This record gives sequence, C-alpha cells and structure tokens, in this order.
Amino acid sequence: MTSTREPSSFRDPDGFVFFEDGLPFRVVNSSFQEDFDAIKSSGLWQSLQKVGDLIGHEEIKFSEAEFLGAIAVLKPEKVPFISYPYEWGFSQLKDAALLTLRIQRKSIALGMSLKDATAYNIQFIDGKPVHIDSLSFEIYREGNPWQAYGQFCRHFLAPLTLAAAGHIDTQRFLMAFMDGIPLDLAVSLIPLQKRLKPGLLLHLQAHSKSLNSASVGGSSRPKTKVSKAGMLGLVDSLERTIASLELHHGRTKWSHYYTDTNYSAEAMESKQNLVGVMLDQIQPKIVWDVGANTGEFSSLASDRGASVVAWDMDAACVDRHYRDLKEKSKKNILPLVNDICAPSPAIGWGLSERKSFFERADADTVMALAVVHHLAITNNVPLSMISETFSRLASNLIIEFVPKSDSQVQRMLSSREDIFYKYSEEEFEAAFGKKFELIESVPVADSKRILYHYRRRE
Amino acid sequence: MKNQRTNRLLPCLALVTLPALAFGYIDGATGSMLMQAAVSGILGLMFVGRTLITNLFRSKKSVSAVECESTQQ
Repeated sequence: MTSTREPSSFRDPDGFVFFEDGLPFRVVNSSFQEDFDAIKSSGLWQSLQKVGDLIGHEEIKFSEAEFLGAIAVLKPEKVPFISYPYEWGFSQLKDAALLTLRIQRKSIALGMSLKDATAYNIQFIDGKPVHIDSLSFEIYREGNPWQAYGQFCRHFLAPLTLAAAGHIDTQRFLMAFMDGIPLDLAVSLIPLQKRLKPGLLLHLQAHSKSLNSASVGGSSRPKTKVSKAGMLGLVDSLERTIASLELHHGRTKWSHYYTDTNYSAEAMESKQNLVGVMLDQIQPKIVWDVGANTGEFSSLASDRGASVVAWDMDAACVDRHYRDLKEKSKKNILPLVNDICAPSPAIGWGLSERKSFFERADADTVMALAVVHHLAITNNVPLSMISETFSRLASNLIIEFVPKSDSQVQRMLSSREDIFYKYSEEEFEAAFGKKFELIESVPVADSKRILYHYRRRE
Repeated sequence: MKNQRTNRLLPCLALVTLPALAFGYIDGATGSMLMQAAVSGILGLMFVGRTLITNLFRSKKSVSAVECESTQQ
C-alpha cells in the first residue's frame, strides 16, 4: 500500500487529506473535536449529503499509532476528475457560488457555519457542484460575523461580476489570484453602470472600500456583532445578487463554429458515424475531447457510457455546453475551459498545490477533431510536437486531419504567408506514426478531411 | 415601491458611512467583518420582513387550500 499526502491539504490545522492506493482519506485532528461532535449531532452532514450537496463519506476504523492526535478518519467518495474554478464556465462558477450560500444557510439553521468559502472546496460530480470538504464547518456562535464572507466575495462574486460585465475570460484571473480576485481590482475593471445594483454596490464596492479603510491606521481588530437575522440577511442578499448575474452571450470566435462551419450535412453525418464506429471499437471509459466546442462529439462518447472531459479554450462555448447538459440532465460530461496551447499549469505552494491539467490526465482516449490545423497553422506548432503532446495524454487517439485545400485552412492562410511547407497528409502521418500505431484512417464523405484512429506505441 | 427605495438607499448609506471606519493592521478579514457589522442589521430586517410576508401569503394560500379541500368533501 502506498499513501501520499494531498499537497494542497496543509492550510487547515483541523485535518488533512491523504491518498492510499488512489483512494482519498481525510484525517480529523483533535483540534476539531468540539466542532466534530457538534456537526455530527446537528445532522448537517446527513442533511447535505441527502440532497447531494456534500460529498458522501464513511468514518473508518484507524490505529492511533498510525495517526497521532487524530480523532477520526473519514473515507470520502472519490471525485472522478478534479477541476479548478479557473477552468469552469460562468454558469459552473455561479452554481458553485449558490451551492456555497445554500450550504451556509442550512448550516446556520442547524447551528453550524462554513468556516471558509473557497471555490476549491467545490467539485463537479455527475454534472452538479458538490462540496467536498466535510471539515469546512464550525459551531455557529450568534453575534460572530461570517469569517468566510470576504473569501466568498473574492472567489465567487468578483469573477462572476466581471464576467457578467463582459469580461468573460477574466475568470482565468483566478489562476493568478489563488485566494480570489481582489475586490478593488474587480471594482476598477467593472464599468460604473454595471455596478449600479444594490448587491454589487454593497458586497463589492462598499466592501472593497471597507477593506482599504481597515488596512490603514488604527491599532486593533474591532469588535463586531452580527445577529442571526443579520447573518441570514447577508446570505440572502448574496444569493439574490449572485442569482441576478447573467452572462450576455455575445458572439465569440468559436461560439458559432457548428453553424458557421464548412461541413455539408453529408460530411457532418459521415464524421459522426465514423467517430461513433471508432469509439465502438475502442470502448473507452474516460475520454478527453480536446477543442470540444459545445460538445457535438463529446455526446457520442458519453452516449456509449464513457466519462468525458470536454475542454475548449472558448469560455462562452464551455458555458453554453454546461447549460445545455444541465438542461438535458446529462451527467457524464464535464465541460472545462482549457487551452491546449497554454494548458492550466501547476500553481500554488511548491507548485504542487494545484496540479497542472496534464498531471491530472487519466483518459484512455483523446479526441481531437478539427483541431490540428488550428495548432499547426494558427499557432505554428510543428506536427511532431502535437503528436508528442497527444501521446502523453492517452493511449487511444481519434484525430482529424484537415488538409490545406480545405476551405477553413484556406481562410486561415488568406491573412498570412504560407510558411507551412510541412503541413501535409504525408508529414502528418509520419509525425504521428513515430508515437502511435495506425489502426485505421477513413476519409470523411463530401470533404477533404481524414479521420485517424491511432494507438500509442508502448 | 418603498422596498425598492430602501434597496437603493442602503448602499449609498454604506458608501458614505464606511470610509470613516479606519481600524487595525493590514488584515483582509477585518474590513469584511466591519462591512458585515455595518450592513447586517438592515439586511437582517429586510430578510425578516420578506420572510414574514412570504409566510403570510403561504399561510393564506394553505388556508384557502384547506377550505378548498373541505368544500370538496
């Protein structure tokens, strides 16, 4: 048995997470004893788990010699794929925010309170946000303010307001500001007319001013009192403010890809059939759909029982995909914002607190449909490097080659000099042949495109 | 209408009053706590008021539902 401590689990003195043979365990330290007893007797865990808002866990037996100072060891359910807030679309972050507030409201009613409100405590499981930290609670003492209020505003309210104000890509700022976007920065980036809502003026504008005035002059922490009604009013006001934020879906570079595409109906049908046949041959369990757009092809894999991580660099597409899946109650596709040319890096303490996107690779199959020409021509990535990167991600690859004669590539080359002498079917096959074994290649009907099924050379 | 006016007045009031509160060392949490202390009273009142009104309508509804059921019998 091999056990490793989760590198991101070091901030909370009340416990930590470790993995044994790939399964997560949460150690509860004796400093959490009073809160642990209170939360168990409050019925909060059961109440939240019953509706799927908190991850399920069981308390397991442990030897005290193994965990000095521990009072309990919990075995939570395993999260299929860990994603981070800077990889979520707007509606995912919004749903995560509303979940956090819902949990806080329920906690107060049962005599507990969330002691933090970090977005990293939320993960998406079966298409919905779930709180994964069972120890994020403390006894609610009437009069005490909510100590996670500032964190909630930085992690959720600021990025959501920025996106709703038209800066949809600023959610990626969360990568640079790990404890949330500073409120004064958010306020400075949001036009005044977009801030003229009572909730935003309070929780962003006035809150930011309050933070600044508290950090100059004076000497000691002031005594503040917040009644229970005041606390519920605060949560209610935040809920209303978050719920009122909407993304205005303008046209982005990729948001109309399928309607603007050069595919004929016949070509699209042929491509869907061919991809379906290849998936049937592979029978994948976990698929990464690279450049998934709004998930036209992700659903082919999910319909065959695979779990799909569908990523795209366009935040508007990802958001549309998530809302579509939510509407259809489709559970086994996780849409994420990620750019293969600049995938999420490892960040945080020792560069190990949040893993890079590729470190989290656990797929057996990668689909890269209508992607290669964008990498090779728009981004000047040599075919050999594209092949090498895909070979690191999964053992099976379904990839589409789009030749120079294709109208999409012609459009791309119309505004720049054609320096891509090595972009050809032969060079493509040679580059991918070095890392992969060709299983099958089939032309897409009524187009000049070719679909390949490759298997990685071991 | 009155509720809407209070909604608009509240942030303005907070904006005017808050800068006068200058406390403490550089600590992110302090400003957030001051903010809560400043606004939670009125947010709490609004919340309680709204809950009371909602409950009033809900109980009226349930009374009429009971009446409906009894007439059906």
